[in-house]
Amino acid sequence: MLHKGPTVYRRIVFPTAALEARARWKAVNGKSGKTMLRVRVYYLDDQRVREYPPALFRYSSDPLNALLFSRQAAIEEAMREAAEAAVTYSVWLGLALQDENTLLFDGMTHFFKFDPGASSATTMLFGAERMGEWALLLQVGCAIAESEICRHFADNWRQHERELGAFLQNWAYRPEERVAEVVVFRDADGQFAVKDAREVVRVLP
Amino acid sequence: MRGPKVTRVIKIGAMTIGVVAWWEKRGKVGCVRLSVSRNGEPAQSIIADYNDYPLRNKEAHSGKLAKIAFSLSAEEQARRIADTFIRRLGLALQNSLTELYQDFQDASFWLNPKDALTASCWFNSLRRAAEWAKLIETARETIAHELLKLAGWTHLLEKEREAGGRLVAVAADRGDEPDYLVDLNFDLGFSDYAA
Repeated sequence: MLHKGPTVYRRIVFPTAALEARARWKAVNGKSGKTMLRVRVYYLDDQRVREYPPALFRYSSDPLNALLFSRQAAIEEAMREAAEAAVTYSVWLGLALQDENTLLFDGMTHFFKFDPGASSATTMLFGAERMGEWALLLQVGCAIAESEICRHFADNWRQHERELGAFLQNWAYRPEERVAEVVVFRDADGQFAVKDAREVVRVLP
Repeated sequence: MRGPKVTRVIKIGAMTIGVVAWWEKRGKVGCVRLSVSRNGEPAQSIIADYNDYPLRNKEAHSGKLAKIAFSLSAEEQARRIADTFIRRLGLALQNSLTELYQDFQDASFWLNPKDALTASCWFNSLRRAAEWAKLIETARETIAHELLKLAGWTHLLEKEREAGGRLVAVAADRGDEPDYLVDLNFDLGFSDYAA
């Protein structure tokens, strides 16, 4: 029996705060499973952490089905589910930072079945509730990105925010990585820069 | 600052669903709050709409007239929201998804992202819509549960549609009344329970 899968982390590290999205698949009653997304904000200056209410990504019994083959296959499947939730958060956050609201709306309504094509009113209303949960987490992501960029890169902050959004969209798809980080920092010329954390480590002395 | 409360009561089986709405000023903005309770149990309220109309109407008048103007427009806004809830509940029971979706789109907080200034504003609208959806689904579930007890599986869908149609009609016809009661037991022919 597999109760929980591995947790997948995606972090955006700003100069004085870090946004962390964690996703994990968990078995429900041994027959099905669900993937939840949690968002935390770490305030690095005063060493505070704030966690927001979790949001349901989707129900999936794939990891339990994979258990019929092997435990390893089930773990991999659970990891894939969690990674997909984390990727979705990063991509949607990227779209929100670029104010690509129409694309975001289409993506969210389609994914959560909040549209007239749903099979019943219950499905549609349930989808609306899930959208609301995700909206809060995305709003938190936008707010922290905006405040950090405004605070540290006040000139052209709007443009930098869009740059970060575009970067996240291209960077997000990392199904194999359990932990992945993006760092927003001031480069050697004092300019706004966004990079994958591994690349930043390489340039450090 | 708070306007008068308006109440809509739905009776179904042994259950009573109470819908209460009122306008109030919260911080700098005015909003209409909505609360839905079952059998009179205390329930949390949600911000169902943002609206400054009662305040502007008050400022447009002076003296005693200002008070009356405020009270009338605050009640009007509360009635509009309470009836929107009844209508959406009816549409959900009827499974009229296109109309229900359109109703959400036409709300005064816009679901359509083209109308939102920033993604952040629009996320707020999504959260409001989610709160609405939760209230509607809870009420829908209560009615469906009671109907199942009254009509059984064979007539459940038919009775759900009938109840939905009745609620949509009542919301349209009695929107100008401050308080009203919809007795679905009577309307759907469950005479044992009818008041």
